[in-house]
Amino acid sequence: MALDEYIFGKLVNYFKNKPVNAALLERRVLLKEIKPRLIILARALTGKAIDIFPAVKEGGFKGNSFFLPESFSFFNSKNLNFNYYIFRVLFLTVQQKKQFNWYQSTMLPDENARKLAQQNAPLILECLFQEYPVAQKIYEDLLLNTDTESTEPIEKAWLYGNWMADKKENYETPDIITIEKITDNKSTTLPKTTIQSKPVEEIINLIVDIKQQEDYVMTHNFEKVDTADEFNGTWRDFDGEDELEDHNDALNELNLKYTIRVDDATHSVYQAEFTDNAMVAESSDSKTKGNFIFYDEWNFYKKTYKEKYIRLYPCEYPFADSDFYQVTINNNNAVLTRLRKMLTSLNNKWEQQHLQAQGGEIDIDMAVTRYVDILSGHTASDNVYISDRKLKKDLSFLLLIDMSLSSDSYASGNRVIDTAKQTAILFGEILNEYHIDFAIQGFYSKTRNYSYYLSLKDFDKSWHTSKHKIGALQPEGYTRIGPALRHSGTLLDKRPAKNKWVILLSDGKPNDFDRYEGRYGVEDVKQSLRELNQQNIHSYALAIESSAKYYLCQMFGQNHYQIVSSPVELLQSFIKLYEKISHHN
Amino acid sequence: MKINDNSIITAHPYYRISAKEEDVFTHAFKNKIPVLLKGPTGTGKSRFVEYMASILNKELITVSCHEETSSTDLIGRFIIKGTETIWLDGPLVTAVKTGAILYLDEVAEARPDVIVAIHPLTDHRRELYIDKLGQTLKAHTDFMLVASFNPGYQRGYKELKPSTRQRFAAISFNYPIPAIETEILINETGVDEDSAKKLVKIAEKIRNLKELGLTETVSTRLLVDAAKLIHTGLPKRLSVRTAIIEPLTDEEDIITALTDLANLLI
Repeated sequence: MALDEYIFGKLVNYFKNKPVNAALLERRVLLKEIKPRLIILARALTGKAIDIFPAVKEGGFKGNSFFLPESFSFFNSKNLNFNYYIFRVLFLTVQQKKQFNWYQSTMLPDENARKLAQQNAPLILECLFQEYPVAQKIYEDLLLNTDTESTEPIEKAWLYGNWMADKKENYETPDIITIEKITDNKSTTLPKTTIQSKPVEEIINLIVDIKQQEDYVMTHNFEKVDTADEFNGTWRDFDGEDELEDHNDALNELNLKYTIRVDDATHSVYQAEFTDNAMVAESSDSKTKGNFIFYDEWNFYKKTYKEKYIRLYPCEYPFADSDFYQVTINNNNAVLTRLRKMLTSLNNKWEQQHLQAQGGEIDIDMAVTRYVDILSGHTASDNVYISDRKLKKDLSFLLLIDMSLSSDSYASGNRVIDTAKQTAILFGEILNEYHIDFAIQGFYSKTRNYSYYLSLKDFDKSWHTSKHKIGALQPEGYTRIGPALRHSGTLLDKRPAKNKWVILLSDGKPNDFDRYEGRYGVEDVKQSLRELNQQNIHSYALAIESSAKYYLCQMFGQNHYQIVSSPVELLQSFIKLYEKISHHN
Repeated sequence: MKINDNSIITAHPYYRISAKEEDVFTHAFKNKIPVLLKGPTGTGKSRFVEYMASILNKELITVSCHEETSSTDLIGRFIIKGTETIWLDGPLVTAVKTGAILYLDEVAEARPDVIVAIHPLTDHRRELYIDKLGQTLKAHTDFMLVASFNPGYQRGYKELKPSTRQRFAAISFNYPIPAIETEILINETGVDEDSAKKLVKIAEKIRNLKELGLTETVSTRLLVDAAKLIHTGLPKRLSVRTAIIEPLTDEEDIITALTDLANLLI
């Protein structure tokens, strides 16, 4: 980098990141801090699975996504700034109920979007005040504007937001089928840098024009410090080196309205939170080699199955990493000992057998009965003991590990996939010691044509040969949970045990390249859980990420999932689950 | 185990009929068909049984089942007194002999041998075999068996077998519609109509939230408690917080969010 470029860059950075004054910091309310609170409020008020995202400016709503300003500091008190958010959530709740939004296919300029919002605001306010009288007080406080440095009242746009391009609820997704070339390249390159993007409210997905890409001529946008291009009609080569951090400033200027998907491995990750409206092409049928099994997928829009829609490739995981196993066992020795104690005491409790001819304890009820029989001259039974005999445990567990790229993230300082791997190892170690029937499987997917189901430890395989494989697991692909659950059902169905459980270890968010996301994905998972239920197989989910609770509860239902942050916690919750199951058994 | 031996009630306890449950129960009683009450906690299952026992003028014996409840607890046991042994009837035998209504609350919680013990009482035989006495007891003509269970929260852990369920006629209980729930609050606690309506609205909104990981959501019973507190003069927002929000969860975030919600509505 030349000296003039360097100085220019520094200057731009200085002005961009100049320190904000302390008073502003004091009164500023950040959306990310109050988001969970607002989500709960919005969900309670609407009864719908509302999500909240940062808006480019004042925001609005689109389907079940509410957009709110990233931070707000117009008023002098933190309380009023917080109340602003509450007011906006209430306002959007009513606006959504009335379906006041832009449902036409034509583009709506920002100016008109604000105008429409303001023109229709009185209707919404009337309804709002009727339903929530407290809202009127909040609204009047905001309007009174006595508590600000500014002499102007709050801009109407901040209060009423804007109308956003939306689609009527339960719309039918058009079945556009475009051929997307998705290669099966198992790249070992993993992204190294992740940066959170600026908010974006609308995403338009473009289909790659290979011809133009080949003809690409390098262009520069000189107004930016570094070059990261917005889509401007020409296709450039996706070369992909990890230089994301260097380009951070340029990226902040990017407009993420237009996106494309490519099949090259990721080198850097630029995280854009909102992807809900991404119009992703469905993948076409493809012919592949290898053994696969067809599975159906649930299309909730039509309430029918898409028959033989998924190709699932069950295979044995070929890699092994003995060091990981050894390190996990060494580091968790204390945990294992504690688990053993817990499990032993549990087992003794529920394996007590009454009416035994010999045993460690006397069953007082039976002793009295025997006494009665002897006194009354009847033949008395000798079976008055309680014994702690071991019985064959009538249980089968299948631990299903989500291996998708999302498990490469960190939760509470632990890498999610490592936590999952450690849990699987400890889980296997303990179940093996107690001779409980179990399997450990992993899954990931790259569209419906490539849903992989990797066997780490099959039910009938020995733990000693399987245990080294778990350490070698690496994050890969996407999360198509439905087919993985269905295949687990098929495997468990063959087990003779009476009590069968699938335990899913995942961040719980179904997603894949080809539209397997949002409500569609959630509904498919729910349907596959219903199928399991019909097969008399129970399900339980363990998640390592706290945001998972917004997805897991929708799919697994209350009391059938748990959010945890470390292997120790995961195992404790597993033991609790085991206790519940075995007590019943 | 709780046994209410002397629960013959003179004045009918308050119960608000919301569908045809009274007719169903009365006809089941006439035909001696056992009844299963299904539904989440606090929806009036136990109150309904009390009410029906009172309407039919029958004695009600309630057994709250838990995981240690065994058939011995229900049928009876010998105890030793001096050098004598004395047989003590359990609540089931008492009900079978006297023709009372036996209410097994949360029957799915009980040990499997309890279910086996009640099977012959629930079909045409209507008899109970007491193995310790070597006797078979024919049920009194008025004897009726009522059981309750909560299908939601023990799914997968504790369930009634289909063979047991098919021995019962079943009535579903759920949270009443807002108008009826408001009426219940007013009648049960004497709270003013406006507060009752607001409480019901809060409950309606909290019941929308499926993702809080709450084992159970706001029941009518919790609302009744809040209404009682309001009626005796505790500030409304504090009453809601103490009687509705705090009992539901211990998580600080959820308490804050629910308090926001309640404060908007009351």
